[in-house]
Amino acid sequence: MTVSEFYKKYRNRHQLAKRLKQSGKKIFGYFCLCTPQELIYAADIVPVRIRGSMDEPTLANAFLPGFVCCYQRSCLHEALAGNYGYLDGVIFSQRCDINRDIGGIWAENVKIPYSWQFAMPRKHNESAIDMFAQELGLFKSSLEQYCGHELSDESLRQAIDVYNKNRSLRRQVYQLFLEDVPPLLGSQVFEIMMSGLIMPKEEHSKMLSTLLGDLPSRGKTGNNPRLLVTGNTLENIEVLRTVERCGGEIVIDDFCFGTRDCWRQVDHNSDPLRSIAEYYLSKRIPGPCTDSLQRKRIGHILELVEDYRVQGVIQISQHYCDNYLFETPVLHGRLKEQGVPMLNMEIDDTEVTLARIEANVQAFIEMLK
Amino acid sequence: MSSSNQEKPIAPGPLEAAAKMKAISKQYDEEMFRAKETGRPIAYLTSVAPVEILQAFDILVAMPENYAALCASRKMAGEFCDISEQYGYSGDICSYVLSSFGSEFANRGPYDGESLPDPDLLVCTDHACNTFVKWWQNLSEHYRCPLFTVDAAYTVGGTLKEEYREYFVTELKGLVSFLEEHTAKKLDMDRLRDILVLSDKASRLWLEIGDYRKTVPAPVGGLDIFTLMLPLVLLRGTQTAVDFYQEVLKEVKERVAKKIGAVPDERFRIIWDTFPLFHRMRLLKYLEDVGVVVATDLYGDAFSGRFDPADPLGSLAERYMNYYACSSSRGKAEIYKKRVRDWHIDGIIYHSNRACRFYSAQQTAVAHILEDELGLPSVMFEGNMTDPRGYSEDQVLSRLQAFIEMMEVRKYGTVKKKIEIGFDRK
Repeated sequence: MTVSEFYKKYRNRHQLAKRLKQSGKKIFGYFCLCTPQELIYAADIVPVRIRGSMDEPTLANAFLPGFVCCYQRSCLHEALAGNYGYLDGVIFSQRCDINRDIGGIWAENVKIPYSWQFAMPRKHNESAIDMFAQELGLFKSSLEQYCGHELSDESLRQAIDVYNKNRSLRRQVYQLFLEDVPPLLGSQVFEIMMSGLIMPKEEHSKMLSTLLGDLPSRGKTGNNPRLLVTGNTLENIEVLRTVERCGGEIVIDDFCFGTRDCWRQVDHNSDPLRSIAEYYLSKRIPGPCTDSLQRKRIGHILELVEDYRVQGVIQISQHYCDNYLFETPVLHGRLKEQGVPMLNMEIDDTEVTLARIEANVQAFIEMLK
Repeated sequence: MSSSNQEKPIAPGPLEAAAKMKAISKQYDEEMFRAKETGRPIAYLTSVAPVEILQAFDILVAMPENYAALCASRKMAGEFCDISEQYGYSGDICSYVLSSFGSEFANRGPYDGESLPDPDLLVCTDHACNTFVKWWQNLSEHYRCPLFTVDAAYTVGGTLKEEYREYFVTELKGLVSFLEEHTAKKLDMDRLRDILVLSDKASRLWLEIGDYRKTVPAPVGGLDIFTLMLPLVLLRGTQTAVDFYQEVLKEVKERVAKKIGAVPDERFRIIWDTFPLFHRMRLLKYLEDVGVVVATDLYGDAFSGRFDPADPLGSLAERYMNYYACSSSRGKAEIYKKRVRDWHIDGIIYHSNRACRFYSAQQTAVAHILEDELGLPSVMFEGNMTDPRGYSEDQVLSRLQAFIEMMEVRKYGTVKKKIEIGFDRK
């Protein structure tokens, strides 16, 4: 099995989903990686992350202004174009402003058989975890009503095991980059992680195990600067390939679907629902929209910079994400204190100008050298 | 009867009570700048937040959002936004942030050259936009100042669940503990109740004033309303706010009795959604000059809310979590449908405010629903509430001109009176 198999699955995600439906599976779409997928899995429903595309989101323009989250605009366009007609349900979160608003817009304009919006505290203390566990209890009851059976503690524990195993395998992929000459490219890791968003977790874990058991080998890579790439969501993989063509070695990431999503595990304790709540609220590495005042995301980046011997950080975030925009000067300052330069790029997946990105990245890498 | 006993005639135009705003602002500014010497802590607070609790601790509340709007009205915001960008902030974020941060970085502002005094405490809420929380996070690091975030977890488009309310009440208790710690005072619950009575009264008066705007002609328009709301924003919970709105209401009732409108020749009644352009309030004057009055809006209502002093923290939670801006697009559209009907509305102007995604993100969807279900004339123009850079008045006026003509055709079947909006532009 080759690494390219992962991205092939991703590119054919809609066909994959339709085949799952034909086999009798139900599929729920979600947006935010803080969605408690284990609950959906326990209800024997396949959770898939709703993705945009690189097409101009013309259909969404009737419902969203041009200066909001490109990802959500693109996803809405895909839904209005009928590309997500196979979804049996959609899960919305309250955590970012647009995610909260988009639920109502989908409800008015996209046919969704089932939808649920979950509330999420911002704090990570015991009171917040209690609240979130209550909220997930309501979601669990809704899922039980939908699927017609109880989601037992045993089924939740089994779901936790499946997802933890996948997290562990993904983390093993990242650990390969601790070496001086990793066997994979950073852009290939992106492909691997993206593919995990759109297929059943067991299938992804099986592919990961096969890959880890039979890794390719790369020749000598040269003295390319080791880079960390951070951002919210990214559709256009050419952006990362451009970074590599310019001579950057992407050795680690801080994407919401990357290290943040697999660095920690759900604990097993006597109350699996509370364990899930605790993981998604306080254990999982947060993005800026879910981060507490402790700036856990920035702490995570600084640890990765040290562990992975990172020489430069490139932030690639989608336009108009307020949470990232506020954190950028702070991140920049903290990295500067450690002597690590940062390049910040805002893009819109639907209108990327690779030449402009190449010029910026080239100059950054030259500076690092 | 001698002429000295005759009543002063009421003329259309700004309310006389509006002139009192200057004195209220001046007094507030003086208190703010004297706070440190009088030993009163200054807290920066987000605008739609439980100011009443801070007032109960005798804390001087300053609101950077309000301050940014002031910078805009004094034509300083453009420069301050530019300065913030030089410090690494994106020009795409909230221009309240850019303007107030820029003023702080430049160490000058509209108070005779001085900027907002530094805070001793920071309090924000998480029940509105993400910007509030991220902004206050950055403020706490900049000023090295204690911060309390009142967390809120809730969903939109449905009723307020008990668990959400309980969580907010828990957070309010946390706020009280935080303020007790940092002021070395205990919360006087009776004082809080008294403040809630006043805040409730001020809100009732505000809403009653809003109700009188249903009258044709509307006794007060947008140009006045967006200024008159200052006490509601900054001073709700005070006798000053109650006294002021009682005067405003008295004057509004007199106008209604005598059928005097905000504009001499009211031709069209509109909704303005949502933020005014604080750097160019004259735009509202241009509309009034051609007989278009903002008969209703939702912006000011965000700062009003009803309280039950028998349950201070519970009613604070309910009031601040029932914030219309957190409704779904359908929820907002239904509010507007009622406004269109009850306030006899001819059209809607949507200010698509680039600087506030929280308010603007659903606007297109709301406009879509209202267009489909009401077919009312409307216009949307892109702008910025605080930052004047990039503002093109020609473009905006040309769109408003077409909009007025659209209303005219709908109302009269033809363009009866060719008027050029902004004809006396300065």
